[in-house]
Amino acid sequence: MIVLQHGINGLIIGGVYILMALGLTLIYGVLRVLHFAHGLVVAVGAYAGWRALSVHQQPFWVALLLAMLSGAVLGLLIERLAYRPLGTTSPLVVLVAGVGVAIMGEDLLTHIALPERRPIPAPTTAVWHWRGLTITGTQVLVLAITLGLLLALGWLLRYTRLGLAMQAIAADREASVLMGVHVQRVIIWTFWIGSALAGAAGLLIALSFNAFYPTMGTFAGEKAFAVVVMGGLGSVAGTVYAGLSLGLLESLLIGYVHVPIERDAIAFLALIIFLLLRPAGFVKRVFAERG
Amino acid sequence: MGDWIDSYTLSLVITIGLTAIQALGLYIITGLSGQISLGHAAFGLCGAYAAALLNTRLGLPPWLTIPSAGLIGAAFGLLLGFPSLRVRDDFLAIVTLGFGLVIPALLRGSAFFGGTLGISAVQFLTPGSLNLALRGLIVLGVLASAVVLVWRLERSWQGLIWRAMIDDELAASACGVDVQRAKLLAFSLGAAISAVGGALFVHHVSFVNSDTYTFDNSIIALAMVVIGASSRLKGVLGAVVVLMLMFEFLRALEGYRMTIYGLLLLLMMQYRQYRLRRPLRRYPS
Repeated sequence: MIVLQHGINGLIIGGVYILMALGLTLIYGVLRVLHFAHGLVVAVGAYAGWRALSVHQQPFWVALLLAMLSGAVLGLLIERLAYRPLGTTSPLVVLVAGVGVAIMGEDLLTHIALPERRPIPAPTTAVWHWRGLTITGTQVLVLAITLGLLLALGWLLRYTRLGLAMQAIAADREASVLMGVHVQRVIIWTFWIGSALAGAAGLLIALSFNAFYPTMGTFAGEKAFAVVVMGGLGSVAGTVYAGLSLGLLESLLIGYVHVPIERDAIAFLALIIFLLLRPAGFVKRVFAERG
Repeated sequence: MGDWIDSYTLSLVITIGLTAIQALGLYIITGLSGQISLGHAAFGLCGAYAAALLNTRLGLPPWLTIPSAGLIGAAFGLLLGFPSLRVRDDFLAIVTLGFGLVIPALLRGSAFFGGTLGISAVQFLTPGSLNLALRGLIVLGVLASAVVLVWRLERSWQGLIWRAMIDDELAASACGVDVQRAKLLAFSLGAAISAVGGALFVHHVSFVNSDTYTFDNSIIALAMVVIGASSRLKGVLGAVVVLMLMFEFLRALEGYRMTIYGLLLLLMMQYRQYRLRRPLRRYPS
């Protein structure tokens, strides 16, 4: 039973990791850069959600919308002000620029939000018990929102022109330009969508661990990278598998074995071992093929 | 000693010298051989812990612990070099990032390495904690040897091999370049230099814990290499001095130091983009 309990917890957290990592996957797909300020977007989303819930006492759906909106706006700003002026240069330059944004943003957020770790009011206090399993209303809510957002994204990628354009650019940027895809517009939309997902993920993470703190973006961003790379960098399906596996692995390891490292480092230990065995990741370099 | 130079300036010189040694190690890996490393600080950490343990547990004097730390660093460099044979570019970036996070986590979690408290009461490089002038000279001496080593490497056959590898790995190996050997060599050399830097550091402040070198140190070293890469070795050393002095002067801004620092990193990238001589291809062909 305990295995099952850890498994459920792991799956729910894994879902949130997927949400966070998918934005990174999509952005990597169209821009081919490692977007190191993604963690900051997650933290800002969590902050907006926390503020709406605890300071302004807003209902949960308002908090979620605010988290997504603030994440999206920040993502767009980062794209416009930090990445676009760099043009097509070495990815290392973009990477360092992204880290610069992350350092700056995290420091500012710490000044605005104060550095303590604070609990976040749970939107529902319902708890279900069934044969020794415990599931809280918050977990159900997190799971429902995660699934809803993932399904919406799947629909977008598969059935809309924008989604197809995103996949086309990821598969072959030059060919897509020749076929008339407006790359810049697609990049902006990708940042908009990916960052909104990150904002939502921020709030859901804060809810899951019942804590908001300004530096939570660092670990969130790093973990998202681990998931994205395990999934094969640029593969949507791979990201989903990797996120679920990581969530499960973390919960089971923490629950059962005494590991001498903290939870957040497990992701990378798993990643390193995994990549040595399977360098291409879960799914070979394909970006969400149709079918 | 010390009429013409006060201990504040001396400490600053030592800090800059130690950072420069770290950056030179990364310059071999990223600048000369074109491999991305986002976990470079871990090598400094390995060196620092190795020296601290050898000194406090076995009682070895600094002149023995520092070279040993270099060897241990080289071994860790080799260890991280192996993934570089399997994965490339962005994958490698994240694997090295992971290496840089796992090493401190392991050190923190293990009682043998002193846990979160780290290891303290390491012997000072020079007798007494205040004899900074001699210590500064030793640091600068090590830095100078590292500079000469890198300078010679750049102009050696090995440097040429690395350059060929950066331009086109496949073509290079077709011409008989042993790509695996070249990559492993770069990682172990770079790691060894940074580990020596870390060992010097631990004998300078007499203390080390897992926060001594963090991801921020890795990124700062990377920024120095990226900023300086256009004018090669000179540029990297220049970037170290400029960035470290800037960081020092930003102390005046107290609370907003990291904000400004992040902003400066961002702005410098905007300015430097046109000068980076060897772009790693953004869109793999």
